[in-house]
Amino acid sequence: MSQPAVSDGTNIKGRRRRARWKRLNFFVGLAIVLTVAGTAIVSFFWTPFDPTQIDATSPLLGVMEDGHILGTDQFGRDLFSQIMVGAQTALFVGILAVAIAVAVGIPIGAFAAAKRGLAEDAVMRTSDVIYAFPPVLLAILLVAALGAGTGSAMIAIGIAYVPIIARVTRGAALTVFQLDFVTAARSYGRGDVFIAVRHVLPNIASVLIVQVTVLFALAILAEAALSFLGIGTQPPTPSWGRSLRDAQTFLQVSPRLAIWPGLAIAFTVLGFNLLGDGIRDALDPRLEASRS
Amino acid sequence: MTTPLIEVEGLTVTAGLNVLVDDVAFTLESGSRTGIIGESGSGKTMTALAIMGLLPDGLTATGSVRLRGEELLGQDDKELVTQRGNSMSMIFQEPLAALNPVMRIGRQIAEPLLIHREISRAEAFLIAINLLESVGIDDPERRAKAFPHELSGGQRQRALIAMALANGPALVIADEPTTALDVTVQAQVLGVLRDQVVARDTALILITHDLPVVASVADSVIVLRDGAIVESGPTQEVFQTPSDLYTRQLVDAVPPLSRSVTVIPKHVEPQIDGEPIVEMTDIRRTYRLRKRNLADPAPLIHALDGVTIDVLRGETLGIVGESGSGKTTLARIIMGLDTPTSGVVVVDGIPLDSKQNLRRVRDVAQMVFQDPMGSLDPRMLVEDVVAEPLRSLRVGGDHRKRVAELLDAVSLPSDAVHRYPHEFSGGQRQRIAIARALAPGPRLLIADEPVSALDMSVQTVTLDLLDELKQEFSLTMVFISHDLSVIHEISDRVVVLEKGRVVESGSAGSVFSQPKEQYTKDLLAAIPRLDGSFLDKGFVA
Repeated sequence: MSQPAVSDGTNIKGRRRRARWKRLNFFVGLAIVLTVAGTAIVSFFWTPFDPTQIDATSPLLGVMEDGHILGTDQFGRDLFSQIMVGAQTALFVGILAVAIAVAVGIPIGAFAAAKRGLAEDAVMRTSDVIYAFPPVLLAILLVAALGAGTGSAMIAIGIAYVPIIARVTRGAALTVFQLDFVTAARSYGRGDVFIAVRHVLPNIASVLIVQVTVLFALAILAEAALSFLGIGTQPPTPSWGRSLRDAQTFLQVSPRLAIWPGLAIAFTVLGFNLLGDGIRDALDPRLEASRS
Repeated sequence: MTTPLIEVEGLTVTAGLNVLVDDVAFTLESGSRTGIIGESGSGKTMTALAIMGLLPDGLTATGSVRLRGEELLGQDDKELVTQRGNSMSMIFQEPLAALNPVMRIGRQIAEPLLIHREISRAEAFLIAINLLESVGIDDPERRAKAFPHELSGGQRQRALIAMALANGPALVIADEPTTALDVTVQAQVLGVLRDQVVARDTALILITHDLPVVASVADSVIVLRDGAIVESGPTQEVFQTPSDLYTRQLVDAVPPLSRSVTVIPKHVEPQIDGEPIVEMTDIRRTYRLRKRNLADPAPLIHALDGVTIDVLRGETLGIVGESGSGKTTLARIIMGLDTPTSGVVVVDGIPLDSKQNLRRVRDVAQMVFQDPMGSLDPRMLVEDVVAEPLRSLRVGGDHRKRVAELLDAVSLPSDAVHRYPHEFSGGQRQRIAIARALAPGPRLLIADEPVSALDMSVQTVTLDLLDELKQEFSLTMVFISHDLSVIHEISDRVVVLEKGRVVESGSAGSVFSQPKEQYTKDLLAAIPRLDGSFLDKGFVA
């Protein structure tokens, strides 16, 4: 008497559409990051003009004037070339700052998760103290000690991010340390270090990769902020943050001097954030079911 | 003729191209009690969820499910909501997960009442208290104000039953309602569930992998395999004269102790020459809990409270106890993974009192864990998993060859080495774990609930395998389980633990056929039996 009816989960089409969007995140993010990285690599060999070449005859040129794609600054330096080389600085800072954070933070977090008790408290509370320190203050201290420059900025950002990585590592590792395969490894005589490196790290890698990608974006932003304050990258090395600082004086006359480096920063940070989101979604097992 | 309560016709549930439930049809009369049995992946839960209209995203149900003649499939969520919790409700397996941890019990039970009836909160709360009383919770007024974590597992499951019954539904679906509970608590909860649905003339669908549980509650049974019905009929008829080969396998897999109370199975008394491999003397293990406040001393938990046990060379010692009895702590102490607060442990002549000696014990003793999902590193190839102890303990020889031999010994194909653990079924994974434990050539194997996570037919095979391997590798085995039937099958001697103390010990034959202590008797009486005899024996509390 009744027709066979069809019950369609709850709104499965909407779910699929969302899943597609999320994959789009990943590819757009990846495309942006690859573009930035490509630009940085190309700028090692070729830029339209010498980015540091001062040309008093052509200051403050507009877009596409005299072959300058984005125009020139107050000293007649080519903006486009500066932004291209600025990508080097941004990525360099990102890579090294994150490398510092990872190299120090992961062992600390893993140690805390493996030891528990007093040792854990000591390590994690110390890292909380560092976390409570504003990165800019940390940077100023380091600049006072080491002198201003990209290196000091990198180290300051790296140190500021150590607690973040340590916390994420500890949280994820705690769960894995409770699992039976870790107990099994102990029962056949493996020590903490081996267990942490061979059993725990591979199982928390996905969480860390996502965190690292997001921190990369934050590091680029932090470098721009420090350079803007004048305690980061020093002239003549081009940096997006410093370009912004230089542009400040001419904001009334020529706002595009600030717009282009600002856009470069926004674009790159967006790219890394999208990539981070995309990786998170790709590694999230809860989404896996709806994909198959 | 009156319309049946539930009519299911041609119910098919698919996930993409996978068919999870395949053309299932049955009818239920009001007040009937039906068991749906099947092993993991048989589609029993999906069938229930399809009836409730609660299928997870991505699954599609076709066919027909009618409640008193009214079609439920294809109705949208808004219409179904009026049925759910009203004319149909569901009880889930894990009571802690099914209750909201930050909402008081009484309020949660009152919730379905408030949704479907026009009554005040105070009235609903009073009904909730009555419901709690009817499912046998002492001091219901106080419990109604408690949060879920303040109740025991059995009380939580009773609360869930109360919640499911709140609106006097015509149908209650219980999905493995007692699987997470201890055997004595299971008996009580099953009794309450059965008595309540009978008293209210509510139809019950009981979903479980456990045949004796079905036998003690349901009057008819549906056997599912790979999503399709292989057999159905009155419970005792199906279990006593199964017409389908698969049903027969399921019935045959039920251990003797779970068959009937009247039949006390025979047990061959083993010949064990008395030299002990493990000697534990007056072991205590106390845990200090976090302080509640500064003035009081931190509360202590006595996981083991003066336990003295010898394990004799060549025997299988079964250690049985409910949750919190300290059986896992005992295993960890023998393995040197935990150190006792006081007492002496000697394993194979090595006293476990120094770090070096703990290391030496690893050569003698190895362990198999309960959950084969969790005990194998998901990022390691099977070859590495099994070879790990060889490398760690610096066992010489050709590791690759040894791994191949071990996998052969546990009857896994030789190409298993190049695959990851998740590519195997639960039973196969447990074989991998057993191969790993045997790798360094231990003399003592500690098995902590090794078959509890497996389907019943796989349990039987795994137990047989362990028994064979024990002979082949001349092992001594300590077998820990909450399941008396399993302990009965495999053990030569048995130790019954309760709250960290040894209640009773002796040869398996004597403990199971002539238990001396009341606790052991209670445990034995609480086992559901395939002939349905236990609930009628008046164990219901």
